[in-house]
Amino acid sequence: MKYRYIEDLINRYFEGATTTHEERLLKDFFQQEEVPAQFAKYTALFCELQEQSTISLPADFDERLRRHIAALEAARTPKTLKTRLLSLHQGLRPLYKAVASVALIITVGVASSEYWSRRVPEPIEYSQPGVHDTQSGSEVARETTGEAVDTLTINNENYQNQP
Amino acid sequence: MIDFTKDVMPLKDKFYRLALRLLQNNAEAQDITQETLIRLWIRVSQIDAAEDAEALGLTISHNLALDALKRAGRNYEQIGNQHENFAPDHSQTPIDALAATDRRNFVRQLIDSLPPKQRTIVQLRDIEGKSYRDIARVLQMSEEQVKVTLFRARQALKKSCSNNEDYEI
Repeated sequence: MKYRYIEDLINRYFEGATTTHEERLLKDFFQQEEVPAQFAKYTALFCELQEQSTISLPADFDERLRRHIAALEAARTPKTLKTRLLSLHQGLRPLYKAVASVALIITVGVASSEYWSRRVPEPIEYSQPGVHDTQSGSEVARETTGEAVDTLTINNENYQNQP
Repeated sequence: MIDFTKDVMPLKDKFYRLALRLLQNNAEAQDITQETLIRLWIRVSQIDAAEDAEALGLTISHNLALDALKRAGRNYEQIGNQHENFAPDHSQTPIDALAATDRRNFVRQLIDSLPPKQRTIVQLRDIEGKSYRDIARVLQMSEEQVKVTLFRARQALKKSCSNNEDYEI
């Protein structure tokens, strides 16, 4: 009479008609030291079900998992940028390149403009068509120079002969 | 969003016990638990509640364990019917201090000899105390199917209790 409720619970348990709360009550009931004789045959079952819920992973499991996750994390995150001190020379290196590029452009530009500006236009013929010089430039120069030297020599002599 | 260390890690033993129940191999069950936790770690930002993490983790652990069983050539539906021919070891004298331990071993062996589906449901319901709804969600089957399967498993367990009566004599 006293254990009718327990008996009812056990019967309903095997019929699959108990709630999770009632199943917990059953497990607790069979945890006691002195289980009434009529229920003794169920003790092993309910105690074992209770015992099975205490099985746990070995102590080193967490550490192994942590290492595994750390490795995954390292593979996942992009590599961190390393900062380092640069000397003035190293720091300005990109600037050198810029300066060199500009200098090259200027040099090429100037050189090419020089080249194009030096292209002499077609000589212009100033003389009338059909009229030609009878003397070459060098003959005229020689004669003119000769006359000038003569004039200078005469003038010099006149100057020295002055009292 | 949930926190992996605070919300997921405390569930590790449940995942482990489910894998262990199916595979009955400690090393394999640990590997599957690790894989389950890593998959949860990857998806943790998409999980809203700890209950969802538990259901998802149990599903992953269960599926991985089933895959391992299949790889080992152990069929999910057929394996485990040994309990039909399963009998307690009568070689030891029952009426001594070892009797209680023997009975417990007998129950454990009986659970492990159930077909995998029944074994899984006994694990989730009778050991972990999950609701039919949660079990149906984890195993992706209807609550009705869960109840029917559990009923069969408990009938098999009941037989073990009847058999144990022999020990009392």
